[in-house]
Amino acid sequence: MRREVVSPRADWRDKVEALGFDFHTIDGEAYWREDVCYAFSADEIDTLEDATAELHSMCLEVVDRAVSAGRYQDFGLDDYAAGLVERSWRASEAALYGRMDLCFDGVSPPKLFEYNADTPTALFEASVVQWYWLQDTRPAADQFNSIHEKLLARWAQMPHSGNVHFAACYEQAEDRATCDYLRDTATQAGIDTVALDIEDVGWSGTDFIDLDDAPIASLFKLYPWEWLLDERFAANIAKAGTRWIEPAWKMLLSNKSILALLWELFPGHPNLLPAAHRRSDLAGQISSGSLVRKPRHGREGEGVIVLGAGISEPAADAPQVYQQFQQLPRFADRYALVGSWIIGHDPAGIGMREDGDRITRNTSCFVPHYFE
Amino acid sequence: MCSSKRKSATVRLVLMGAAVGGSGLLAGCSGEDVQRNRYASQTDCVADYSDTQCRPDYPLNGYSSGSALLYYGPWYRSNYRAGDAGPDDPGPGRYYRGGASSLASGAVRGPSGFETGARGGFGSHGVSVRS
Repeated sequence: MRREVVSPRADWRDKVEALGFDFHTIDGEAYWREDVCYAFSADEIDTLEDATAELHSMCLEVVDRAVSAGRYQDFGLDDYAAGLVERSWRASEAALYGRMDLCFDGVSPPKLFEYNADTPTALFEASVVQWYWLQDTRPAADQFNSIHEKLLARWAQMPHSGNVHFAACYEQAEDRATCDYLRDTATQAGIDTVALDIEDVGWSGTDFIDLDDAPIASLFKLYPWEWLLDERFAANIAKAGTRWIEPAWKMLLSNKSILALLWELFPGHPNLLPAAHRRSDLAGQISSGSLVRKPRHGREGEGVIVLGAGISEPAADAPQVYQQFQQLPRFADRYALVGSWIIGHDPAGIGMREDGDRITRNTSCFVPHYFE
Repeated sequence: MCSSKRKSATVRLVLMGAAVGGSGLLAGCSGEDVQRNRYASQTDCVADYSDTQCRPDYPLNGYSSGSALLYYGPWYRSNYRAGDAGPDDPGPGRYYRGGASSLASGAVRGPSGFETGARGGFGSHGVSVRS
């Protein structure tokens, strides 16, 4: 695994914008960078793929055990949310996609930082934009990226009757791109789709409805479950016949508490870092002496702090999860993070993010990759 | 996909960049309560509104056995006031505006009730979910 300095395509802006990628630069700073790329060996890609598959399988086992044992308080879920999780899990409601954030240096086993299993973004960049970059710059090379093909295949497997609706905060360019891209793949899979802003979802008294008052049978929502359950329509979710994508059981995977339960169920697993709900529970398990505190529902690195050994921590206003600190590999002056995609239940590809800070945030750059 | 390759063989897009949105019936009522009249028959509904404004109800959960198909008029704002209503608000129908005598025929009945609905019940967090 190495970071290479390369020449960007002369007309790269025109090329990526022609794809519909209009947020390559955010607030004047580069988000998409093709003046560098990451190169992997085939063995390294195999390692990432195997680890992703195993971690996903372990996550599903945690969900199954948590539901069977009713361990919803460990995730901070109330009875209503727990009921939704339980119903969707027992009904085997189909999942579409997710992204694991992995720490990987090409040598040591990949380590799971978190699982963005409910509303992951950076999908379009990983599936489409870096694929076209590869076709233009290294057509003979390979890339761990069959996300597009797997999405089309997954949509064909997903149960649905009639339309699938797609709802997101369409004012946000990144959210719009993710939702529109998924809608694009559903359309190619032969599904009739309807897009609407999440604010325009209506309630008829019996069903969720779209802007034409048509009942919403299946709804892909790029909107976190914990937000849905915190809003005025929350009480209608259990009453409505809408099938949600992602399903409610994904609430357990996208919750940082999954890290503590994974460690409890699979202690010492090479792809896990020690994690717990209480800092004191990690005493004696932390090899580096440092740990990271993460909000249970944090996004974009928000609220993540590194705690050195013996250093007291600031008060938290929300439940936290503690995890052993693991330094991301550093190339030049950039810390690199692997985003490993799951489509359905299969590993499908990766997207590289890098940052000058050791915590990956929404400003961290997306960098394409290839392997030989 | 090529058998030896891990990348997609082709990546084709058919929708990206297309405009998004619906017809907007009472769109913009985010956070406002709306309601619609319920009718026992299409005839009753059409007497109150018009043919194009009436639609049968097909709930996702289906009808219970023995129940009849219901018809609904269009959504209107629960706080509808004739003089203040916007052009997109169809109002509560002839029966609620003028009483039973306002209906065209004595053979038709007015609404059997109404159902309240709403928009804007999701989305209050209103920021990117980017993660």
